[in-house]
Amino acid sequence: MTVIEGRTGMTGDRAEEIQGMLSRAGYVADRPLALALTLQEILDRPLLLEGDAGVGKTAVAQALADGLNCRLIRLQCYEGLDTNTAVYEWNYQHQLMTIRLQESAGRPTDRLEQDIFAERFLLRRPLLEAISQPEPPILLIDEIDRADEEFEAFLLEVLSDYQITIPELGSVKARSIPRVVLTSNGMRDLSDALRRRCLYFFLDYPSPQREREIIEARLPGVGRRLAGQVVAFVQTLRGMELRKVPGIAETLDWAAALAGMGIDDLLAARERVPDTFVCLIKTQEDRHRLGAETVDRLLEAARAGAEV
Amino acid sequence: MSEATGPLLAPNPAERLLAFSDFLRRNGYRISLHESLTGLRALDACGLPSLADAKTVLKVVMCRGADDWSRFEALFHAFWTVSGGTVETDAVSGKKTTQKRGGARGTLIGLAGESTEREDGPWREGGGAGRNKSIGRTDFRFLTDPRDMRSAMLVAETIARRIRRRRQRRQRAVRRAQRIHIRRTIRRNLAYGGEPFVLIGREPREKPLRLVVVLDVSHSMTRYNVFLARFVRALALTFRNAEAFAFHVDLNRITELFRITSPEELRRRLERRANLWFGGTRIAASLRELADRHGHKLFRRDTVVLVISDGYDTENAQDLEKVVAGIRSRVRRVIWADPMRGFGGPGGDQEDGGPLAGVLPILDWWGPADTLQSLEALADYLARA
Repeated sequence: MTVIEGRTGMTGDRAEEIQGMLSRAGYVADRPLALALTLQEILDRPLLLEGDAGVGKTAVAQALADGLNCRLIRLQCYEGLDTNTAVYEWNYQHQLMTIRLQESAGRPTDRLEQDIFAERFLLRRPLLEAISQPEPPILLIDEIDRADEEFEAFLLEVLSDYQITIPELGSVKARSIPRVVLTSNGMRDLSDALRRRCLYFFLDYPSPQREREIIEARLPGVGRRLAGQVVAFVQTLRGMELRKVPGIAETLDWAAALAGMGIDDLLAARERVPDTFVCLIKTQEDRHRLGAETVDRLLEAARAGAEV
Repeated sequence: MSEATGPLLAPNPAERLLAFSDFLRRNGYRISLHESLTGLRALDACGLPSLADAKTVLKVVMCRGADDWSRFEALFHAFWTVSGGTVETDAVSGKKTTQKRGGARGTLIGLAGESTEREDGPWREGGGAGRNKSIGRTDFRFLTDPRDMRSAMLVAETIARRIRRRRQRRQRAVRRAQRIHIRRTIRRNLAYGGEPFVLIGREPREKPLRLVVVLDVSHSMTRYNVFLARFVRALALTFRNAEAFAFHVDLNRITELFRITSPEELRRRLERRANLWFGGTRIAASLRELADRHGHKLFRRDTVVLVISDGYDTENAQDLEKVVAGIRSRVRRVIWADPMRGFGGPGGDQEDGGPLAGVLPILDWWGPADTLQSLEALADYLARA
C-alpha cells in the first residue's frame, strides 16, 4: 500500500463526473453520494442505500443506468419472494410439449432429459439475467427489507461469487459483474452478513437548498419564487407528526400541480392551495391534521423560507 | 474541511487507519480487518484531496447502519480533527458511562442510538454468548454496567426478531394439504413424462402475526423500558402488521416513530413529543382509548394484543377488567407481560396477581418481562400464538 500523500484525487475527479452524469439524468446528487457511487465502481461492491420512503433511493439506480447508458434490471422484493421468481424457472409447459412431441415422433427417450433441461427452456429472472449480460448492467434490488431472511441469505451467495448454480445445468458464472444497488426502507433489520458485503449510504431528506435544486432540475417550468415556497412549506410539513411524511416525489408532484394550475405564488392563492394537497398528503388522518390554522402557519413558513 | 489527509496519515497510513478502526470498534462499530483494509484501499485509490472526502469514503466503507452513520461525523472529527489522529482509543470511549435516570424520556430517546452516547458516553462492545448467558437471568433493574446493558439490549432485539423466523419455520414444516401445487407437481413428475404419479400438496401460508403492543411508559416502568422499548421496537420492525402504542395517562401511537430509520429524525420526533413520558398510569382509560379509537382498524380475529405493564393503576380495577374483557372478545389473544411479576411489587409473585387479579382469568397468557430469559418465554408464546 502506498503512502497517501501528494497524489491527485482520481476518485475525486470521477466523483465529479458521476455527479455531472447524474445531474444530466435529472438526479441532483450531492458530493458524498457521488463519492459513494465512485467507490462502488472502484471496489466492485454492492451499495446499500437506506433511508425513509420517498427520499429518492430507487431514483439513484435509475439515474445511474440512464447516465451510464446501460441496462437497468430491477428486482422488486416482497414477502415470499423465492428463487423461482428472482433467479430462474424452467418453462414447464414448453418442456412437457417437447416430451409429448418427441414421444409421438418415436424419438429415443434416453437423451430426453438432457434435451429438455437446455438453456432454451430456461426462463431467466432478474438475478440470472443480470449476471448473463455481456455489458455490466445496473442491478437494482429494491426494498430488500421486504424479502424474507432466507432470500437474503441466498442473495449473500450471489453477491459474493456472482455465480448461480442450476442443478440441471451446472454453475453459471457472471459474464460481467453488475453494479448492484440495494435499497431498504428499514421495514425490518437486515442481517449483519449482508451489510458487511455492501458499502453503505444513508440517504436522508434533502436540505432546502438541495430540494430547490431538484425542483429546478426536474421542473424547469416552475418559477423560483414558487419553488422556494414549495420547499419551505414541505420542509416545515416534514417536521409535523404525519403518518406519511411527504418525500421528494410528492414535492415534485405538488410543485407540478401548482404550476399546472397557474399558481406562481402560494400566498396569493392561499384559498386554492388546500385543493392541491391531494398530491402531497396521502392519508386521511394526515389530511385532518392540516386544518386552516395549520395551513396558515405553513404558508407563513413558506413566505419566510422563500425569502431566505 | 479542505485540509488534506496526507499529513494526518503519514508516516504510516495503515497504522493510522487501523488505530481509527480500533477507535470506532471501541465505540460500538462492528469493524473487522476486512473493513479496515477496504478503507485503506479506498483511500489509496482516491489520493484524497480533502478531509471531507476522506470522511465520506471511510463512512461509506465502515458504517453498517443508520445508527453508525449518524455517529460517524462526531467520531471522525474527534479522532482526526481535534487530536490530529493521535487520540488514545480509550480517551473518548473510556468516559464513564452511567445509565441516565432521567425517566422514560431518556429511555425512548436512547432508541435513537446517538443520544445515549452523547449524554452518557459511548457504549463499548462487550460480552459474547457467555456474557449474555450470565445476564440472561439478571433483573433489568440491576443491569448497570454499560457493557451488560448494551449486550442485553442487543439480545432483547434478537429475541424479538427470532419470533418471525420461528413462525416461518413452522409454516414450512406443513406439507400435506388438500390443494395440489401444480407447478411443483409437474416439476416432480417430469421424469414420468409429465404423468402426475406423485402429487405435491399446497398449504396456504400462515399469515404473519398481527400484533398490537401496548407499552406502559409511566415512571414506575422507567428502568425496565430501557430494554423493553428496544424489544418492542424490534417487534415493530420485524412484523409489518405490528402496531405499537405507549401509554401513561393517555395513549400515543408510536409505530411510526419506531420505524424511522434515521436516528437524527427519530430524536427530533421524540424531543417534540415530550408528552410521551410524563406522569402516572391510567391503564384502563388507555386501553379503552385503544379499543375505541383504533380497535376498528386493528382488532381482528387474528390479532394478538400484548400489554407490557407493571399493573400500577390510579383507577378502579373493575374498569380494567371490563375493558380487557371487551378487547378479548374482539381479538385472538390478549397477553400481559408484567415486569414486576418476578418480584414483590404489585402483581409480583402474588398468586392472585395483585392489582391484575380480576384480569387474570381473561388473559391468555400472563408472565414476567424483567429478564432476558423471561423475554425468551414471551417470545416462545408469540411464536406459537
